[in-house]
Amino acid sequence: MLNPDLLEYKVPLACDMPDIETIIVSSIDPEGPFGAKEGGLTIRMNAYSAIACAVANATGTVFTELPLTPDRVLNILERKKGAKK
Amino acid sequence: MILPRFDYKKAEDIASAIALYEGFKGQARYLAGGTDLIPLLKLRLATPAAIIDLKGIEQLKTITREGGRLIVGAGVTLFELKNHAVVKEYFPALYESLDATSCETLQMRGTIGGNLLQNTRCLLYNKSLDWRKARGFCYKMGGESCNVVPKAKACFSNYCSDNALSLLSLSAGVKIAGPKGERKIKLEKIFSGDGKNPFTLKPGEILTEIHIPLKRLRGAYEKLRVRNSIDYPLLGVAVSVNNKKGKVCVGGIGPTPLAYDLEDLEGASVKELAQKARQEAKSVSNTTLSPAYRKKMVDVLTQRAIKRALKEGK
Ligand SMILES: Cc1cc2nc3c(=O)[nH]c(=O)nc-3n(C[C@H](O)[C@H](O)[C@H](O)COP(=O)(O)OP(=O)(O)OC[C@H]3O[C@@H](n4cnc5c(N)ncnc54)[C@H](O)[C@@H]3O)c2cc1C
Repeated sequence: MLNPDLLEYKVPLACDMPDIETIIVSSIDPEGPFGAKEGGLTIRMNAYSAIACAVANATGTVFTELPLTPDRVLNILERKKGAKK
Repeated sequence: MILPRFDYKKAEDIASAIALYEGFKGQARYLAGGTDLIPLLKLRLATPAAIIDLKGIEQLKTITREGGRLIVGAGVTLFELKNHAVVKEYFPALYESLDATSCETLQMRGTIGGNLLQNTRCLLYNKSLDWRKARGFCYKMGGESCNVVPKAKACFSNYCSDNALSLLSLSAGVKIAGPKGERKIKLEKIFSGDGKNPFTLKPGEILTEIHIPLKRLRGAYEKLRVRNSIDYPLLGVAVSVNNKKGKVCVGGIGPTPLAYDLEDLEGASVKELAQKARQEAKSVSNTTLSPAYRKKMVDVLTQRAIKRALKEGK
């Protein structure tokens, strides 16, 4: 494994977090105990999909690799520019 | 990870630190804040018989103005230096690089001397002994060749001091004391150009002072990193300028920072310098982000830093 430590495995830090707005959607999950809904994986999975979709929308290109690091985004933008010429 | 065994000695002054060093016949390392050295010990990248603690030497902890220079003791913490009135007012590039160094917790522990003399880094070097054994030792560890650039009998590790770059842009010098007496050299002379042994300091030598000419300059420091704190520079560019010309220093790529003179402040010269710096930057895939991207960013950050330096304090 190339990243056995937390210095090079780039987990975002507090200062990297965007502002978070909480919207409470009241619902009852029939599968959950007392109608409770899980709040972990769904949110994580959908957050990065949503961001990838937003970037794809903004740039008109589909990404095949995550996370969207600056070098990957620049690469794709340049490839798109090249393709246009 | 557990530390290996070593003797621990605390020196009270520079002469006794050097005497202690000589007593251990070269099998000792100096300790300042320990933020660079202790991890290296834990990873068994350094296995000294003894550690000689310099933290008790008061002489290394002072900042004074003398003969048109700011004289900074090597044991001054990054945090104290950052908050020194002269630094903020005279050396904006240094203020910004200190502020961008890791995080404040580290700045309060790490010293400027230790920062300049921190070992070079590589994704395949700063690893545990077990990891490195499994991979096979690289050139810097005493192996045959580099593990990043196959077959290369050279080391491409990155020198990651943010503050060396700004100090170079300020034409700083250093004072060194050793078994053979004292010497004063330009800061750029401490770099050997060799990633395996990045510094020219001789065994037992102590960095005692950093001298910065007291001139009020404009400046800026730009740092490439993927997170806004803690991260080492993936590339750093420091710029200090007066009314006519300036000095630009690029680092975080390769074992030695590269310095350039900006002969005038015209747009064309700036662009030309940025392109030259980009061409000379030898990035390889030994850290986060692709080498091509880091190389490309040399141009971008150089121009950005110069532009910002010229705009600020006008
Ligand atoms: C998580 C983390 C993030 C970091 N991020 C950054 C960063 O963003 N930017 C950056 O520039 N650095 C970074 N560093 C590197 C570095 O540890 C610190 O910047 C710090 O300034 C080093 O100083 P120190 O006093 O702790 O050095 P030490 O670890 O005590 O010493 C470092 C080296 O210098 C030698 N030494 C120390 N003082 C002297 C002296 N007076 N004379 C001779 N030899 C001496 C020691 O023997 C050792 O080899 C980071 C370190 C960590 C652990």
